[in-house]
Amino acid sequence: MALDVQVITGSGALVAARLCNFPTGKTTLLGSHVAWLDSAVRSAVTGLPNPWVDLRGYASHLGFAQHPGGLGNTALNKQLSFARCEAVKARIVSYGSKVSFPMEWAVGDAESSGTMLNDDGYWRAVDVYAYATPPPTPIPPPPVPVPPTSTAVGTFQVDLIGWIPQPEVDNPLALLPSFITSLLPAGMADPFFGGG
Amino acid sequence: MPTGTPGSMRPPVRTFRGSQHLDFEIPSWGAAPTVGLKTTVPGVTTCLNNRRAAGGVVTFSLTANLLASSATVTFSSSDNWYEVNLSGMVVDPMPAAAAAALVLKLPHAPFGLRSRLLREAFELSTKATPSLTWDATIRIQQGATLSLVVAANYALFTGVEDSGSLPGASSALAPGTDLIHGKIHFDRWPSAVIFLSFTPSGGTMVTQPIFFSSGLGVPRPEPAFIEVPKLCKLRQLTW
Repeated sequence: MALDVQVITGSGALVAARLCNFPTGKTTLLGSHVAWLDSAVRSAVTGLPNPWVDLRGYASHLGFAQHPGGLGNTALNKQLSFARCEAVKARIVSYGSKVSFPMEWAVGDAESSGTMLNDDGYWRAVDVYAYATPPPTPIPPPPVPVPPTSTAVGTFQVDLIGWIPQPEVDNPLALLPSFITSLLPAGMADPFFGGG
Repeated sequence: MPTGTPGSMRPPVRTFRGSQHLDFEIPSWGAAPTVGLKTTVPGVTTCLNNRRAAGGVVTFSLTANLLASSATVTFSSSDNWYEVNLSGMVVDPMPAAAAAALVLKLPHAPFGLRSRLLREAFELSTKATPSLTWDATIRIQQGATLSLVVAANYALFTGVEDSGSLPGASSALAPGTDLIHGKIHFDRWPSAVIFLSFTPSGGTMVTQPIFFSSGLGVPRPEPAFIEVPKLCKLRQLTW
């Protein structure tokens, strides 16, 4: 016995499941189907932009067995599987979001296993794949402009002064800027320039 | 140059003076430096008729002849330092002036010959006069490490070079652990001083001597011609 809702993994959809055990020959959603659709699919198609749902309907070989000529009637089972897709679609549309259904494929009983009397609930089903465009990557806000700061290291000055020290001549230190002469050790200047 | 020798004139006491200045801004570390003022000024040689302390007065003075000079600063990315190179060559003006005065005293020399003699006398005496030269290299680096190879190229503080111990001088140009180091090669110039000033961006200028040679311990009156040329290490500063 198939579960009513069999989650499909690895499909790349936001949510995906196979809704099984539709009543034989009918399109009525089970309560478990509705519960899954109203929770998982609703949140997937209403919370994100550009949602879409792919549907794939099935039918067991038994299908429209009660219908005159329905037993093993491929065309009728295809019609039944499409109607099951439509039932699922109607439920999803009721959520009010602008969801699209680009793929709604009525498989019928083409893939169903077993004999022509097989009525396994696994084949009375609809596969539901719900997608949506991933939310756009938020654009980072532009960097807050920072007032330019001075990266200058600084200014260097090099002063080179040379002389021949003789006590008889003009004091060469008089030629130097005062801020430089103030740095000269007093004891060094006097013996040579004392006559200044 | 006077046309006649004053009776009171004693043999001229000569002094060589020269100064060089370079300032530059580093916009950001590694960027090309912005060079500001760059000057090389030859000094004035004066002659006095006696010691100044004994009342001597200047009889005449001449500006030294600046033969060559260069002041550059470049960034070396491989060494991660700014290298300042200062160089100059100044020659004593007195021999050339004396030779010129001698030519002018030649009696009956034709004008054309006299001008040629003047030029020859000037050139010959200039070439025969030893030039005063200097070549200084200052390296402003980022980092606290001085490689052994670089350090090995700096001679120790010896002899008449007094940079190793300058009373009152600080070893820091600015707070920090980066280094400034270098060397100077000077010739026939027993006394020299180099000051390095640094004005950090938005800060105030700080000045420190990085070289001082007084010429102590050498014979006078012509010490320069005995002790030099000399290669000296500059004081190392942090900034």
